[in-house]
Amino acid sequence: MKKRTLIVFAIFLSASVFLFNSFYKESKSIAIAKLNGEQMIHAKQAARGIEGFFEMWTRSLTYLSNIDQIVDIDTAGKRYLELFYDVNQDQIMSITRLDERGVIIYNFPSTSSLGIDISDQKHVRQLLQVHKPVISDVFKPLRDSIAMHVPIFRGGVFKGSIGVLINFESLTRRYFDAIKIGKTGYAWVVSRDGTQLYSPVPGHTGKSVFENARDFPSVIVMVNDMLKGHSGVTTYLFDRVGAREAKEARKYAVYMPVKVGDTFWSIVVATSEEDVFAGLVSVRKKLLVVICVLFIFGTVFSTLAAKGWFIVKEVEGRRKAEQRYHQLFEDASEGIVLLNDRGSIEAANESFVKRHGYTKEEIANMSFKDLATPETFKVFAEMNPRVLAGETLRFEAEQYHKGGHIVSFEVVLDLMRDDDGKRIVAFYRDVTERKQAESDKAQLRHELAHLAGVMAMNEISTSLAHEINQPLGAILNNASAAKLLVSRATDTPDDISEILADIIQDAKRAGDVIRKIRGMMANEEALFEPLDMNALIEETEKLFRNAVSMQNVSISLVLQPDLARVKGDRVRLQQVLVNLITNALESMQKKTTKILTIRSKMQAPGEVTVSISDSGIGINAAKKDDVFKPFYTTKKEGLGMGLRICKSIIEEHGGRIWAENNPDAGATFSFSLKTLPGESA
Amino acid sequence: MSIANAVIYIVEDDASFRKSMERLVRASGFEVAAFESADAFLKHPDIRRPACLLLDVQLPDIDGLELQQKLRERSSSLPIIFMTGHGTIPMSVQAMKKGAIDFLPKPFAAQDLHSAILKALERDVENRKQEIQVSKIQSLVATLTPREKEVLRWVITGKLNKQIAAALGTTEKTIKVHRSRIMHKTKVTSVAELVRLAEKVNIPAAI
Repeated sequence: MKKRTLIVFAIFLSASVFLFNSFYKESKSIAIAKLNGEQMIHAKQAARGIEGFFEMWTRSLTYLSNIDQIVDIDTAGKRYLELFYDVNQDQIMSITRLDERGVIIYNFPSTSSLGIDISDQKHVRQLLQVHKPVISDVFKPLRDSIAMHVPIFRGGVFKGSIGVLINFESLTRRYFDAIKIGKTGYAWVVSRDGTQLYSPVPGHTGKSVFENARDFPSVIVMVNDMLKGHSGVTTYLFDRVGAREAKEARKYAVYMPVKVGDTFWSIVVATSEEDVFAGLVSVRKKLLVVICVLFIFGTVFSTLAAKGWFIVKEVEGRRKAEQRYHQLFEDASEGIVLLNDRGSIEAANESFVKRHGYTKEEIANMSFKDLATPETFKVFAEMNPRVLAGETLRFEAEQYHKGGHIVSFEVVLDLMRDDDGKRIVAFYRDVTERKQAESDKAQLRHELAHLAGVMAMNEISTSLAHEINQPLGAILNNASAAKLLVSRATDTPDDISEILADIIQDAKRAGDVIRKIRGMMANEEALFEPLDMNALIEETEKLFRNAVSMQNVSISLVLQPDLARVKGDRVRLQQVLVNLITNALESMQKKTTKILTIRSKMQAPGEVTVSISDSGIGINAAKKDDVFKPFYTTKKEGLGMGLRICKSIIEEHGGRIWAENNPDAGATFSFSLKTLPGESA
Repeated sequence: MSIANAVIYIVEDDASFRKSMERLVRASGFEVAAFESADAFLKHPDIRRPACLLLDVQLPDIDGLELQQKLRERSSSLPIIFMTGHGTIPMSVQAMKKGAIDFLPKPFAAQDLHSAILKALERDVENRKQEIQVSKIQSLVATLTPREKEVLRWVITGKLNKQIAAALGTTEKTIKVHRSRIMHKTKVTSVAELVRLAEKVNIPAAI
């Protein structure tokens, strides 16, 4: 989105810059053309003015040259010239009469130069040669001036000339100074040989332009064309603007020849670029404003348009994503519920609703508190602020099903933050079954533990009873025999009979006590039912999963399929398996290789044999016959009852149990049980 | 035959208890023969006089129940009284089913032992009478020819001579002759007596 905006922005920016540039260029060239047109007019005016000026002076001097008194330069002639000077003294500085050799024969107002030969002066030399009106370059004796001479003939004979020294300042003031274009536009003039007749740059007037513009080739190029008598339009670079020093700047110039006598000057009117641009500034400003406005509108419009397009796309995308998420939400096997910060249900998925037995409509008006047991709600209430602070928490929840029973869940609480504020999303995993399985397992373990205890007590009491009953029986027998013998004898003290009677009575009492204990212990009757030993083995193995994986024991079940069922007490036979597996695991505790194999097979017809093999320390060969005896143990904390109990149980089932060492390592304990009648595989 | 000259066998591995048993039984007026194992007892020659066996259930070689089984296999009718240090119910049921007279959990009263012995000896006397009778009958049956034995099996079915003759493919008269010879040889006067006699020596009826 951002990238796209940038691209659109860039496109509009470059379009605007291009537009601005072309408009500006166009305006600039228009401005330049307009400037040059204006300059040309100025130049032409100046040129025509000067041409007219000199024509006027030529006519005036020609008139004078035809006056005899002036040809003769007599008193009257001198008087004419004085008058002429007086009338024109604002324009001329002096009036001079040269003879045919170029010697001053009259000069007014100054008379000091009389008799001076000025034939060496360029224009005079020209005059003497061509006998035509001549105009000098600009002199700088005192003030800038130009000399103009018209030849004098008498009877077709050259008799010298009549000339005036024209005040060039007045001329320039009149024709050139008037040329002002903008702040920097002005005129300058070169003579036929490149002498600068007029220049606003101080010190340039009277010097060769080639000298003055030595460092500016573009000026020289223009001047060369000017000196061919051409007119034209060009640009050049120069570092002066009139009298002031300036940065080297481009100047737009027009130039044209000015016909002066039989030669010509050339006038240049030039204006600095800055003036051109100065004229353009307002245009540029307006243009810039227009372009900017266009640009802004364009950008805004296209951004809006793009935004709109993106929004449409995004809305579409979001709708699809929403649909997908909604699907995910609804189809999730986990229950998912969205709670607001007060614990009210905002949304619940199918799974959640189903697991609680409600409908969506019913659940929509409920809150967490309505569903949770008080204990669970307490936990939730404690967790609530922490979850709202951003923690992800997990707990076990018990919730009421609509039917009233309790369902167990593992719940993960997570924070969901969006524009509308904070919500809690809770994921419910139904663990009722797992809990049930756990409790079943626990129940089974409990039963087994109880049985193990009972069996152990039973075995202990049985063994004790046997050990005690034997001597007690002997005592009783002996006492009874003695009593019989005594009763037949004649002279035996009465005390003996009494003693014997007491012995008999106490022995009987002791026997009764033991019998009572035995009776108390033996109250757990075996419950015989058809059993699948494979299923029993698998079920029992599960009880050891944790222990087995913790101790790195690899356990394998090699069970014969279609094993015939046996008649047995489920719990007691499981006790046998538990005892044998426990022993096997313990025997491998210090071994690196820990392999436990439980096998079932039909070893003989009508007989199922189960064997538990380990890779443990094995059985001490010398004690091989003792392992099933009561109080036989190799463990520090052992009672020595485990195997004894196994033997009792198996024998109670009419089966056999035996132990043997494996050829490689460890021991195998096996028992066999009769199959159910009619079942033989 | 009377229990006066009876002999009481005791098989008990616990020496001390065995000795006390010997004393008590002897004091009660019986003759005693005690053995420490089943094996030793089995090697003892069978004396044809009233007797009973006081047998410990737990014995080192073969246990009491197995010895009982072995004696049955030998067709011995010797009555057995079991003694046990920790008699279990299934074990006692099994023993009683197989014909044990009693099951005495140690320690037991002299009186209980005495009445069990008397009961056993009575049983033994009875058994021996039966045995004598059976052996007498057997010796009588032994005098019958194979053909007469066959006819006997038919006669005890209660069938008529004519039917028996048809079954055996002979004449009614022949059967009649066989029948009278059988009655004579076995010293009976009625078919009913003949049936009882056949039962005692396990002669099955023909059908």
